[in-house]
Amino acid sequence: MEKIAKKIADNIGVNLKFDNEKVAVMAYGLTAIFQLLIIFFIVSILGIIGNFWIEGMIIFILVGLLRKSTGGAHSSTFTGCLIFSIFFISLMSLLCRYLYNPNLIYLYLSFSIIVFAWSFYITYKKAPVASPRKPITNPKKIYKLRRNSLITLTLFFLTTIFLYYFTEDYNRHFGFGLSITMSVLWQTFMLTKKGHKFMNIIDRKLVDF
Amino acid sequence: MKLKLMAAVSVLATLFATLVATSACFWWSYQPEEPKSLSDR
Repeated sequence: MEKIAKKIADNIGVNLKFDNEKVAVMAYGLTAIFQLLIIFFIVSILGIIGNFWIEGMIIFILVGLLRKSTGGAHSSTFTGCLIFSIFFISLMSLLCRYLYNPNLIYLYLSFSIIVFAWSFYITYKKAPVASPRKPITNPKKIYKLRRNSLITLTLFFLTTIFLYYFTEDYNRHFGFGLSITMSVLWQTFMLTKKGHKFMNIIDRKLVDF
Repeated sequence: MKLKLMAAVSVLATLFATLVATSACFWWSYQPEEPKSLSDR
């Protein structure tokens, strides 16, 4: 898919007479757009079939938003990333959609509080976790990204508590709150050494096309 | 018409590239090599 993005960018570059650097920037942007769209469409189809579309979108968007400032482990191939992302978004959304049990609401609330406490600690210690392909060395940028990560986490936490509080009005609020918690849990795991190892193991099992 | 479409795609792709450049990494878990002109953002 990255090759297709490069081909399209080359074609546009030739027609609009762009230099090589401008073409490289376009190819980079197109790869990002393809990644987003493919994950969005496949998760949407699976979500509509399994009736967990909203939970899927919450996880898809919130992990992305958090990842923008925290960074984290990366898959080494485009295809690996797609399979990995789609599988785990669908699995987590499915769990969030169907785990609702009104008798266990305090147990889930405790789970969310523990996840957020762990996440604040790990994010403060490690974020932003850069990729070798996109190193972050500017101290101002590191400070800004870490601050943004903590602000984002605070907003997610307040929203989760709000959703749990109103879960009696509409029981799917519970699933939405749990989806935010799962997004945070997943993204925090991707900041840790174990998350990187896990990603490497999955990577070895997948091939690029 | 074709050139206009290409120009629109080019603007959108450049916008996305700039958006990613100011972040820690790509939206999900794949990170391609970043172009040199974006690396100081």
